[in-house]
Amino acid sequence: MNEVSWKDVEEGRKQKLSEIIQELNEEEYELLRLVLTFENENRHNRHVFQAVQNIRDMVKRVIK
Amino acid sequence: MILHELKITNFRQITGVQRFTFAPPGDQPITLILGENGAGKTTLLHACLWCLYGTKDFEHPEQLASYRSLSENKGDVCVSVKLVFYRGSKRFTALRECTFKASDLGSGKSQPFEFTLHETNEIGETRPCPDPELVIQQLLPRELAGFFFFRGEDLEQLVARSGADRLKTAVEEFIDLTVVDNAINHLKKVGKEIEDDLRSSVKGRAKDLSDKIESLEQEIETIEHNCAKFSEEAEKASVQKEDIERELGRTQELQPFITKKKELTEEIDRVTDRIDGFRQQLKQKLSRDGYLAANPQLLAKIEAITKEAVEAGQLPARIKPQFVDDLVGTGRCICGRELGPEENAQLSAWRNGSKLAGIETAIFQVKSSLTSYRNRSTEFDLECKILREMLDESIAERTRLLSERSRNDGRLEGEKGLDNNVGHFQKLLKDTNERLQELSFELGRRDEKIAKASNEIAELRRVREKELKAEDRVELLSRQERSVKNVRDALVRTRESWVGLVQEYLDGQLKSNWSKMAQLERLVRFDEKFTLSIHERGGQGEWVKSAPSAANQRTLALGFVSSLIRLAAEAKDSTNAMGLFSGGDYPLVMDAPFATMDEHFKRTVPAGLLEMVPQLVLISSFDQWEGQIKESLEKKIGKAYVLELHGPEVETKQVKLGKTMVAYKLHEPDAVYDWTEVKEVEA
Repeated sequence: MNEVSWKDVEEGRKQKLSEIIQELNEEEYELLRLVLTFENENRHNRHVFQAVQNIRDMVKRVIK
Repeated sequence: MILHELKITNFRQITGVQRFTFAPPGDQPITLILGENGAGKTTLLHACLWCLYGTKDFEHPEQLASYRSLSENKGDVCVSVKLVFYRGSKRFTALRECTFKASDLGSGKSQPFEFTLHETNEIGETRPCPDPELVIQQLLPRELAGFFFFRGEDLEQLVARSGADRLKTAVEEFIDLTVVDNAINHLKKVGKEIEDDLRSSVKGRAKDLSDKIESLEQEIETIEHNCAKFSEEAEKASVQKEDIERELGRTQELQPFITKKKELTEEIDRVTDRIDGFRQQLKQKLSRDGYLAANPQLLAKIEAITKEAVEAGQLPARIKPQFVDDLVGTGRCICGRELGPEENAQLSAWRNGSKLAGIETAIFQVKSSLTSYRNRSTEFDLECKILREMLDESIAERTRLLSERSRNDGRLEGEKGLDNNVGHFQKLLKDTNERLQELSFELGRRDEKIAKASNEIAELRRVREKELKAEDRVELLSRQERSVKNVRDALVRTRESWVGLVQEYLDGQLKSNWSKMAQLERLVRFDEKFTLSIHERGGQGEWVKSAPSAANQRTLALGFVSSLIRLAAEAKDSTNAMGLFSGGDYPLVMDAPFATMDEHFKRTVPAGLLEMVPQLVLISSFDQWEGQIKESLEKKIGKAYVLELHGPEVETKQVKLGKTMVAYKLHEPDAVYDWTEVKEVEA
């Protein structure tokens, strides 16, 4: 039986995430972090235009 | 979410204020709610969902308020459902209510409702939740509620291929990809904006390159759009293929019965011909020699009379007619004396009046024939007996064959014309397979085309970057565009890997749950396409897809739901839970989940389910509860209720529960509408 424990799932997720992050440079990683934080804080905000503007500003701040 | 109390007021047919207190997790975590059809079993599910989400997914949603209450009250009628539940040590009270007027009866008018949610902490402090819908969404997302509050028949739909979307949504809701999905979509839009800026900022060769890049990107979009349509068509064709294969499988499964029916019909025809033959022979025999059947008695009588006459000295006759004829002919006595006229007259009179001699002759002729007749009669009897025995045997055989064919027909019942459909299904299958191959070819080319265009874009970008280096602003936009794309790609890959891991986890849980619940050697799967399937051993020991049966499908779906419950429970303690859904313990509230299961599943599934689910609310009819289900779960009941149905056309009925008789239907001649009252009974 190939039962996967939740611990395995968590570990697998972390590992995959770290692999993916390694492929990003520092600026890109920072952008990823900022975007996810912003999306998490504004998850119920339905104003797409506003979200796009905010992220565009983040891009301008991070990638200089 | 562990349910504590449900208070329903004037909701649908549940009239007045009715309460349920649920059995908590522990040794007796089952709350049993029994009711007959029409007593409001499904209404309880609807009441819970209306309370939490305001959904009215039931027939005649305009009939929210109890008709009985509306008809009996002159003032306002309050309709409300209050659900009290725990999440860990916190207690939540969800209340949805609205007010109707008596004049609203039958008007179909919908009234605005109010929804509140209060949270009570460990020390008993209660505060209202400022955004109740959001908190409910965190505790149990609406899209997941159907996995915990459901009717038995809904389970089968999960296993159907068309249920894959719902299962995928469930997985995505559980791990809550809202944040990631929003980020991916927003970054796509940001990337497009930067690309537009870039295009408007460049000149000369770089501009041409940008235009070409845009054109290639549009080409990719078109390919993706077309392929999405192809994928959709391929998905539909696959569902159709499965349906056809199932029909064909069913036909093949029934093929032995169809062949048997044909053989039996041929055999019955043969035996019927034989019976007709025997009947014909018997008829001919009776027609030709049937008199022999009557002869033995007649012959025996003649023989007896003859014998009697011989013994009495009456036969043979003392004077032979020939002797008298000779005397009359010669006119002389045997002594030579001439006979006188008087003597001649006497002799003639005797000769004319006596038939005895004739009778005697006849008797002796018959007697001499008696042996021959007797022999022929014996032969006739024997032949008739053999023919009759053969006829009887054939009739018995035909009766047996007819009975066998009738049993065989029973298996084929409802499948009329199935054998004739085989050709049709085979053609359909061939056509579907051909279309699937075409689609698969088109989809296969998609990656090739996209890869080609993407490589071309990458090359163009590289060349363009060189061109753009001269200008700072353009170079910056170009870098920003590339970074946004890289971040977006990283999120897409993260999303895919995360969903894949959870799908694998649920697949493993499902296998484990199946073995606990079904106790049958089957291969169950929750695959990467988010479909549930069940396979069994074929003749060569290989796994073959099982024929769909309601019992299998329900058990499989219950196994999947239990996997979600486990996922939620484990995710509760996860420090890395990335989403909104907070996880935790969840109950199952099920209306008639075991209805179509056979005795095996009725024995194994409820007991297995209890191992995996912390709290169970089982809503059932009396019939479905009795028997194996009752035997498996009886000792685990913490609370029990009966939905008592009242109405003018309802016939009063009682049932014995435990040691007491409980009324569950009450004739109420004065009532205008049926209504339901809830009665707690001994667990």
